[in-house]
Amino acid sequence: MASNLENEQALIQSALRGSLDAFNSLVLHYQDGVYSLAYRIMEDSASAADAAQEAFITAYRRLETYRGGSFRSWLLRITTNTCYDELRRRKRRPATALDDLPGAESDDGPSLAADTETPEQAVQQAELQQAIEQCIGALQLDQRTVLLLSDVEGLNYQEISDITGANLGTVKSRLSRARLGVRRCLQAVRELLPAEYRLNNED
Amino acid sequence: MLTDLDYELLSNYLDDALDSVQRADLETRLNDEAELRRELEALRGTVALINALPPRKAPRNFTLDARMARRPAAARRTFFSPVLVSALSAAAAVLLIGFGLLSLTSNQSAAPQAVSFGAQAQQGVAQVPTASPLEKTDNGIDDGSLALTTTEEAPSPVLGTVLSDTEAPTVDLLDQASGGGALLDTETPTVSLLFNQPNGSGEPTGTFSREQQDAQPPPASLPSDAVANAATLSDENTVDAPFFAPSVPVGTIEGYTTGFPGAESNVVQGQNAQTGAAEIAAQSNPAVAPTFVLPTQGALANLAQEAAQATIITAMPTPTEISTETATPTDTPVPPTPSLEPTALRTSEPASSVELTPLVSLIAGIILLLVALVFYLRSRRDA
Repeated sequence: MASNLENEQALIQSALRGSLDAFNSLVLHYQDGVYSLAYRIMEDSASAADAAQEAFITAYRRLETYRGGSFRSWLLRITTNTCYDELRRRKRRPATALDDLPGAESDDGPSLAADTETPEQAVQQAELQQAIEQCIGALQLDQRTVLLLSDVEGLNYQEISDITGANLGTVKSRLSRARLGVRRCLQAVRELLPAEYRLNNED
Repeated sequence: MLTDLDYELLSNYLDDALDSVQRADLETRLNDEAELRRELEALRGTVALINALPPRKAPRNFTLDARMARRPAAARRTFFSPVLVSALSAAAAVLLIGFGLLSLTSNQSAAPQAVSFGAQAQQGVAQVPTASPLEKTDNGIDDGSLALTTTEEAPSPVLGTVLSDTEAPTVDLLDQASGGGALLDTETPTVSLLFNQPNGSGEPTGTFSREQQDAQPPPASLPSDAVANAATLSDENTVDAPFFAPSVPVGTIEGYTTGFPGAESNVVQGQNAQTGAAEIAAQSNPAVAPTFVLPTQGALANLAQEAAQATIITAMPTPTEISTETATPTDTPVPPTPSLEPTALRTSEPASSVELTPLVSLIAGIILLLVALVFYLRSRRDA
């Protein structure tokens, strides 16, 4: 996720005074990170887009509840809760998204790859990212969320605990199991990995 | 073989989340255990891969427009409305159903009272509803006093009879006094009965009302038990008790009806009202059932005027529904009996109009309950 804006607090104060433009500046700055987290939790682009939009709407409605601190962490917390709400709703009413149907094309945007990679490197990198995301997606939801917040979004244990509502011990345990699960998953598809990323511990 | 605790220690070690003691212990083990070292490096590589995941580019901008900014109020309205309607409907339904059930229960509790009257009548126990406070006398009654005598094995000395669906004892209210009934002053009668002159004159002889009766002290000749029985009658048998009508001689009694809550007066209707020849007689077994004879006299003009001004309760049976074939007037006073016969008149359709209100309440309550359910489900669906 992008680094904090220099005038982030000023934009927040303007948004609190009713400036929609100021809030939209914050949206533009954080929308990729919010969408990414939503996508990796929801595992489908349309639902992730809906969740991201709903998260920003919720953030605007509840902006007065922001008590300072990391605005990004506060935003990711809303995003996580929004995704959880949607997943709970889906659990009550199972439905199949159009993107999940065979042959349907995903409308999610491409990953933000480095500008200097060659086409071969880009393909290899895309395959790697796909393998990693598949392995992350295979985790249980609570483990996946902790892993994403920790190893993707870079939040510390306390922030993760605040977002998920789990205590620190639970966060550590879930993160440990999630990392172990991804490692074992990637070992199964190690032929897709570049040599430097192969997790071969048998040599 | 590493345990889950080992992996957790390794994970925390990567995040530098171990205290100094745990860190020292783990580093000692890492120096000694090759497997632990390999797992640590594998986890480190995994975390590096995950950390290297680039953020996904948002497929579109998620900036808010004015409509989205205004959405909270609209959303709250659309969510709140079905819930509010559901809650209000449910509350109203509970009230209506409770009211209806309570009313029905009360009506049903009044019905056994009439049955007990009949049973007690067989035992010769005199009980008179307070709505028709009758006084038992011997044969003759002083002029100006309202008297009640009972008869045995005598056809009802009235012109009209009440078709009864049971073999309940007959109650006849008639002017027993010789030469005319007592003049009853009725300003606001609760129950007005128009009696026929038993001497066959066919003229109305007076009215009977609770207020009047309260004003008349019982004759000295009245047996004490009868007075006591009359005094112990429940008000549930009165016609002015809310939703209680079946237990009093009302309904298909020809020529009059009894008052209900809100009714200003009782009805002396039809031609009998004009002629003052309202009579009450149940078509029961006259051989078994003694008959009340309520002697009244006078008040002819008052009765005629009241009858003309009386309000007809449309729900009550019309005089045409009542058979009069079994009743014949008599001039001979019926000998009194030691006991008074209760007024266990049964009508063919006892006060169906009175039970209409609780039934309507029940139906309306059920409908509102369904409405509440529909709106509740709608709110759940919207949520």
